[in-house]
Amino acid sequence: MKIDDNNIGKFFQEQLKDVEVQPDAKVWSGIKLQSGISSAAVGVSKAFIVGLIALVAVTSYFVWDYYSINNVEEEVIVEQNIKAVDAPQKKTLIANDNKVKLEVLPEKNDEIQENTITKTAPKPTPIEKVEVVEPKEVNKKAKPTYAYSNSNAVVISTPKLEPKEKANADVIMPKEVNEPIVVVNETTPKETDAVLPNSQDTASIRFSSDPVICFGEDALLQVEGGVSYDWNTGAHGSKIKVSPVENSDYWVIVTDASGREIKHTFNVSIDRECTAIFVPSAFTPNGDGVNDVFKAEGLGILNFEMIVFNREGQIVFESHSIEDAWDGTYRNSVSEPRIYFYHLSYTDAKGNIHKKRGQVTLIR
Amino acid sequence: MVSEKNLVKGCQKGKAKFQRLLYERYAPKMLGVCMRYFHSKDQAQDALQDGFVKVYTKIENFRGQGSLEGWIRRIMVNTSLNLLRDNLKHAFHADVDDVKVYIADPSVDYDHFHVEDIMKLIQDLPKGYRIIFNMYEIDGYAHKEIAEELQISVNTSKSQLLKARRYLRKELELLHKERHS
Repeated sequence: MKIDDNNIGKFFQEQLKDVEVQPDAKVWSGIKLQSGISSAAVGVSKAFIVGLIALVAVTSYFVWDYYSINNVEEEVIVEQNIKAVDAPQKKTLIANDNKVKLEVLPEKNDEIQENTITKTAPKPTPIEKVEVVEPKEVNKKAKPTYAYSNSNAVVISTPKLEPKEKANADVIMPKEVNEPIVVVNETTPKETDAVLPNSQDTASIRFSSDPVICFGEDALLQVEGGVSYDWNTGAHGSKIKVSPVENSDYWVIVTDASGREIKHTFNVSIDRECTAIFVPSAFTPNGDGVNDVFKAEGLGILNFEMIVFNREGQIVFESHSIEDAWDGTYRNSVSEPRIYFYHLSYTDAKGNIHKKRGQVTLIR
Repeated sequence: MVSEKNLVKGCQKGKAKFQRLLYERYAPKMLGVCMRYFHSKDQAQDALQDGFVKVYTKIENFRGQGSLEGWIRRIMVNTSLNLLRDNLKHAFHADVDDVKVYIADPSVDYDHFHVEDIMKLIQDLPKGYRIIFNMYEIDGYAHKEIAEELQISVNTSKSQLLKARRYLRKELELLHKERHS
């Protein structure tokens, strides 16, 4: 068949419609990390299997133990049972740790992997191997070999796309926690004026509005006007900072210039939806002093852990303190300006454990 | 072999085993799709990765109308387009020169081209040509759909397709000459 502008499209369609290319192992690692797929079900690591066997062995021992003494003493059984739960859990954790380490460093294997293009054909045809010139951007270290079966361009019909349904295909990103909300509203005192008994003399005394804060955040309670202040916390200033971990009332008795006393109660409420952590979505490690590092910000955060990894699933930064910041380097060189992913966990002021996943763009 | 229905069910329940199976079954074919839209395999793999993350997030909404493969394919094309969307507007206005004056060489025919050469021709196309040629000729979109998807006019889509075809024909003939000289 001769080439012309009318049949060229059909030719390319026949050739490329059902081409298969084997992805590198790093793609699956990346998907797993991004979607939070546990490696347990697909685990092949020896350490994991050993851990699993140990877990089964220990559990069955205790289960057997449990049943064997079940009829004798109830109280002892409860204690044994608790131990049984404790012991194997530790083992799994260790095994999983090994697993994680083995899983997230796949880069060496990738380069050995062969890239294969296969043209699917109904009849099996002899396969021959050919060397092809690499596209410029592809890693030059490993020259991939393409294997293909030279079919006579049999079209395997696949259903036509229906792009109307495509609109559903947007990624749902994890919700970002907003910056801590402003807790003191000084500029709009009208809404929050206390109802004062003798307005002529005391009209000049104003109170800040009732704050809503996140776990672990500070709330600022403020009084304008008046000459002396007695807070139920024992403080005597015109403003106090409080850090309650649950909805709390604070009151103050304000004395004005004429000696009159006014009591006002502040109700500080905790927004249970928010946690006081903020993770920026981008940073610019260019040394200009502005947003040069990537770090989470938060108050009252305990047991903070964060890993940052690239698309290939390599961990580029690991932190065990919220004060630690990533300067954008990996193995002593500045990382590529791309999207990186983070997983973090922390315990909030109330002792609840939070996990958060998201992405950060490195801009240069 | 796990049936498509069970595969979908397993993934909808978020079971890692089925998610892995789904990947194994469709990833090579889908990389074949993404490869056509990008200049390099690395970029295509980025799209594949993002695409599968979307598939796992969206599979809850898959009701089994139409084939699973068609559904995944659409996600892959869409993800690829999203990644290509930077500066996309300019891509459709930059005409590649020396196409118009080219006279077809009647001695060249379609035999003896390798799949990977053809793939490479597509990958080396200017971005605007590549997207429209792929969408229209291989993935079966209509000009109207392409125009909506890319925020261009139907006429732009049509004229870019014609230019892409002409460009590809020229490239094929050059390749042919290279191989036979």
